[in-house]
Parts: sequence; structure tokens; C-alpha cells
Amino acid sequence: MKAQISIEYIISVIVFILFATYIFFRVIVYPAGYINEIKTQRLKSEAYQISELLVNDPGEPLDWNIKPDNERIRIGLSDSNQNKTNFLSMNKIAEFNDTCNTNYDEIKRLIGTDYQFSIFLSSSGTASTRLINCSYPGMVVKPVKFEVSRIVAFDSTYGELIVELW
Amino acid sequence: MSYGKKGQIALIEMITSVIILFISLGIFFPGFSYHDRWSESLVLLKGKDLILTIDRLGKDNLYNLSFNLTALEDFLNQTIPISKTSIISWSETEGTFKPTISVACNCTEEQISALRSWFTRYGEPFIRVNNRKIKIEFWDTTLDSIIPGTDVLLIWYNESLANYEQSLQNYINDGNGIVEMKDFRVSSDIDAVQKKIFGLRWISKKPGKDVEFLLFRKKPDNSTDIIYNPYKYFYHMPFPLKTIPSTDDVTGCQPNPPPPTGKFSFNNTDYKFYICWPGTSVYFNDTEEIVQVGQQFTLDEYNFSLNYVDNNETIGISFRPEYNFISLLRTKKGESEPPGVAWGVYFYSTVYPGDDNPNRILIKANENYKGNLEMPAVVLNSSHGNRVAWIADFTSNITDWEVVQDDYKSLLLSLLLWASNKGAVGAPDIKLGYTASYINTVNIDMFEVYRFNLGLGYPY
Repeated sequence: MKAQISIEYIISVIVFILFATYIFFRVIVYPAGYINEIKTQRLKSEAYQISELLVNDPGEPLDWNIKPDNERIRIGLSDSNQNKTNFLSMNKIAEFNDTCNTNYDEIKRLIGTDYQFSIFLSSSGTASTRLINCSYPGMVVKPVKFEVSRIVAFDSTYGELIVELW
Repeated sequence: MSYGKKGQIALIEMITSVIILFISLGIFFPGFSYHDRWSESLVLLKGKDLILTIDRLGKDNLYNLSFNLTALEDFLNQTIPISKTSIISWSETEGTFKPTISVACNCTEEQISALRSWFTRYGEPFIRVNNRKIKIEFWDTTLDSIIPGTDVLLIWYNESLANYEQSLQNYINDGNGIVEMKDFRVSSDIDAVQKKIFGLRWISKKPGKDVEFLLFRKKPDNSTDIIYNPYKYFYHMPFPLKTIPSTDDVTGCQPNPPPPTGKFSFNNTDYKFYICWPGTSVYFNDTEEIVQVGQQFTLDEYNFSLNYVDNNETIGISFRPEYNFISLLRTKKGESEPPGVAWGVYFYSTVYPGDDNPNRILIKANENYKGNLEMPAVVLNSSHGNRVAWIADFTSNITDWEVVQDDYKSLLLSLLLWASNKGAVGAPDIKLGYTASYINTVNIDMFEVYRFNLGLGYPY
């Protein structure tokens, strides 16, 4: 009888194992959730920063749109002649769209991001036209995508600039 | 039997311990969740973007949309259609006149009729300033229960205010203002309310000489000067003058038939005018002068400006410095007044700012009281943002309200607008909403600074 294991002992061992397993998985999952959230926050912050850069920064040099590729340091769509927030230059919009359609990676370098992105600018109103159609050339596989929409003015009209990042 | 019971108790203890442990773990190691506020930030960002974009779309575009809700809704429907975004919006302005100013008037029915005839037309917005229309509504009210939701209280009644101190105080504490148009006859008329709220005191002095005219005491020193806004409104805000079709044979200009005519009255004189075709100029009969919109002109040595001609129906004329009033302050006793002092030398409303601060005097007589104190006809009071004004009753000698002259009406209008509540209504009751603000200026008829608030949010 002494060598026999009591039913209480067996149940206690099972409960202990379950308990230990529970704690183990909780500890394992915890940092992963934090890390994912940090990545998501960084993605969101960068999407906002890119939108802000495009809307309110004229780029460097100010006339980057007429400079050759090797002289372009930073890209921005703000009209440097007007020097007003949320007011874009039509010339820079056109140049941005042309550059992106021929060399997506060049736009990525000028924006300075490691993420993949798509940028669209559509004019509002009844005759809405897409002035920037800068789509990622490959297939979008990342499930986490963040989008920032900005309302901007240009050339006596207005539109919506959308920055998607993943 | 006793062994079996011991085993049961051990199991119960164990299960209890496990439950306690799990609860403790749940407390010390809660499930991971992180709530950022990006959705709120993006709503706020969109509001800011919308305001800036509106402003970038042309000069005065933001101003026009600030006060034109239909045009603003059209713009928002194009940019953030509710069908796609589920975003609801609201807008408001602060720091300037509301589109509709509600005046609670403690006065007689005849007085309310007179006010409506002076400041309204067909119930439509009639006052026009900086190219926008302002509607003024007048509502009869009692002083113990002032109509809530009104913006300014006009007391035009010789009733003692002694019993209404709390009611009046509550009213101005809500951001509203009070204009009191009244003559004080005896020292007891200056009761505790007149002292505390209007900041007046009675002085038993008379002017050294007969008062000939009244004038603005000084130019405002700066925009924080209490007289800054009433002074600005009087000298820049166009006063609307109605016209009626006439059968007159007009020779000075070619009006649209039938010739629309009206009168501009000040200093006991009426000046007849006609609106000339195509509605951009006005012909003054007495001076035989055609005045274009935007042009300054002179009548009886005073300067004026023709601010607008509206649909061949109304013109807007603003006074220009320096203008002198006559008869604003009733200074002599009438023949039918109670005894006390001989007819002709009984001075009414011998009051002075209670704090002896003459800078609160907007309009004063050209003569001082004996002892050299200035003799006010309009005294302002403002503490903690409250705005109250006393003005001598310029109608005390008048039985026909229609003959009240335009300079007095314009002065009263300036005080009502100054005292009116210029606060925002506030956001609607929604789950999530943020307001983006923009300080904007406009200077068409007069310089105005106001805050435009655009709110965006989600209803659920």
C-alpha cells in the first residue's frame, strides 16, 4: 500500500503540469505580442511621416522635380513658391508620378523608407482624376497594412492623397 | 468513512488553491492588449487638413465657408462623404457675431415692434457686415426668467432692477451680455444692481454749460481697450437703410424704375437718396452727388462710406470718424415731469463709472460736470469677459419710433452686437469626435478675428 500513488497525488501532478504549461505559454506569448505591436506602431508612424513629408515638405533641393536623379536628396510635393502647408505643386505631382511609374525604388530611396508603399493622389469633385498612381509593382503579401489619407489643395482645386504602407 | 472524507477535503483544498492561483495569475499577468489612439489622431488630422485645404483654395474661401453652412457641407460631401467614411461633421465660429443673434428684450410690445422695424426686414437676415448677413431676432422677456438661449438682453424699461440681481448675474455668467437703455431720474434709481452689474454711481453734479453735442471720449488705445469693439462697430459696420419704390422724377442719376428711394437720417436731418442703375451707386438729393460703392462721402461735414447696395432694396452706410451726436443725452427736465427742479435745468442721468475709471465711458458730452468730471452717455462694463452697457434713452422724448435717427440706431446696434454672446454652441453628443480650430481674419467692411472650429467624429 505504501508504494501506491494516491489519487490526490495524481490529480495534483496533473494540475501542476497544466499550471506550469499555462504559465509557460503566457510567458512565451507576452513578448511576441509586444514586438508585433511595436512593429505596427512603427509602421503607422512611418506612414504618417511619409504623408507629412509629401504634403508639407518641398523636398531637397526645392526644385528636385527639375533635377537629375543623382541630385535629388529628398522628395516632397509642397509648392515652394507658395510655401503654404497642404498646398502641392502640380509640377512636382507630375514628376513624382512619372518617376514612380518608371522607377519605384528611386521613389522609395527618396522617401527613405524600408517598407513597401503605394501612394495615390486623386482630385475631388465630379471630374475626379488620379494624378498620382504610385503602386507597389509586386504582389502585396503582408497582412498588416496601414493607410493615411490627407486632404490637400493644388492648382485651385483639391484632392485626397493616400499613403499605404506595409 | 473518515479516510474518504479526508481525501475529499484535500481535493477541495487543492481545487481552491488552483482557482486562487489562476485568479492571481490573471491579475499579475493580464492578457496583452494595447490601445493606441491612431484613429483619434487621424480624425484630428483630417479636420486640420480640411481647414487648411479650404483656406488654400482662394482668398476669403475659408471665411465664406465658415459662415455658409450649405457651401461647407457641399465641400465636406466631396471630400469626406459620410456614405464612405461614416464621419459626421459640425462647424461653428467663435469670437464674432453669430449668424442669428437673439435679443431678449425687456420692453413693451411697441418697443419690440420698433426694434424689428429698425434692424430686420421681412424676418430675413438684414444686417450685413463683411459680406455676410446677420439676422437679429427680438423676443419679449421678463427679468426674473430671461429667455434661455438668447445672446443679449436689452432692458428698455424704467423698472427697478433691484429684485433681479441674481437673474441678471446668471445671464451674463452664461456668456451673454446686457444693454440697458434708460434714463436715471433720481439717485435712488442707481440701486445695487446698477452699481454692481453696470458699474454706475450717481453724482449730484450738473454740467458747467449746456451740452451741445456728444462724442466718442477717445480712440481705443489697443484691441484690449474696452471701447475697442463698440467703437470699431460704430465706425465700420454698415448700417442698413431700406428703400421703397417711388414715383419721383429723379434727375441726378438713372435708377431702375420705379426709383428705389430711402432716407438717411442723423443730427435731426433726413437725407434722401436713390439707388442708381445698375445698383452700384447711390444719388443723394441734397448734395446732388452720386456715390459709388466703396466710396467715402461727406454729408453735413461728417464723413461716411457707402459699403454696399443690396438688390436695389437696401444700402449700407457706415459712419467714419469723427462723428458727434446731438440730443443723445436728455439733459433738461420736460414740462410734464414731476416737481423738484425747475423746468429746463433738471439734468437726467447724472451718472459716472462707479470705479471712477473714465476709460469705461464710450460716449460723453462735450461739457463736463462741475468739478471737471466727464459726463457720460454710454458706459461699458466688463469683468471676467462679461459685457454690459448702459446707454441713455435717446427715445425718451420720442413718441413715434419711426423717426428715431439712424445714428442712434447704429450706436444701439453696435452695443447690442458688442454685448452679444459670441461663444460656440459646442459639439454634438457623439462617441468619438475632435475639433480642429483655425484663427482666421477678414477685413472687407471691418477687421474681424474669429475662430473657426471644424469637428469630425463618429456617431458610434
